[in-house]
Amino acid sequence: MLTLASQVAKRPVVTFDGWDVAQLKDIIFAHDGGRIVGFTLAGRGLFASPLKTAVPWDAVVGFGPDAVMIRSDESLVPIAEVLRAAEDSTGGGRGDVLGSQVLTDDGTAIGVVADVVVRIPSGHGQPAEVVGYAIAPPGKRTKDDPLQYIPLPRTLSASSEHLMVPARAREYMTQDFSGFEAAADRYRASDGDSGGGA
Amino acid sequence: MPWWGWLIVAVVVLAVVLTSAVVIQSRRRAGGVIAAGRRHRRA
Repeated sequence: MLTLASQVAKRPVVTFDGWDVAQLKDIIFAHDGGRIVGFTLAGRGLFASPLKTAVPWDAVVGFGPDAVMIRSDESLVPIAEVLRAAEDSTGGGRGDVLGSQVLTDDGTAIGVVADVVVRIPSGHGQPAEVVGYAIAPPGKRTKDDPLQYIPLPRTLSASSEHLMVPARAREYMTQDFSGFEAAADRYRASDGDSGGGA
Repeated sequence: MPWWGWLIVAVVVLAVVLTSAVVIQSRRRAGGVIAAGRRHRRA
């Protein structure tokens, strides 16, 4: 199932005991592969502030349209622990990709990231990953500007200021979100995937 | 209106403005997508 990161935010996190312990805030993914490692959290309610704990993806036992299920609040861990799980040997740093410029490897700026497409597996224990960017034209965006969805290679790179994608991925860009999953699968099955995005 | 009436109005307006700012800020900050290990951040 594909969904947008913006639609995941504020989804309640509920334990098997029925306690509504938090709501999702941000998605944390590995910059060198797109694997989703967890979510930061905010408290419940209008004035809730961000929490210092996160829920690792491995602790999510159900990811439904109305709630994210975990076994108990003991599944929550410090945010730093989730970040460490995603960082490679270079360590350090974290950055929100929203608003970042997307460049192809032939030097063409195609817009800025307005949202991120994530693939949520149907079964527990399978990895979730970032599979695409929703791109808005550079400059101030209006509601009439349609988003373009561009698929990402498995070897995506989001480690530096500009987000790099292979120029070939543009051939699979679409404005149709419902058809994007097929486009992303076609792209990843093609030779373009082996070329990498960095 | 006596001076303390204006004071009450000012306090209420200030409270509404501050509350709105807090709510807007908390809503704006939700929904981020964090790349762990990313070393640069676009301004």
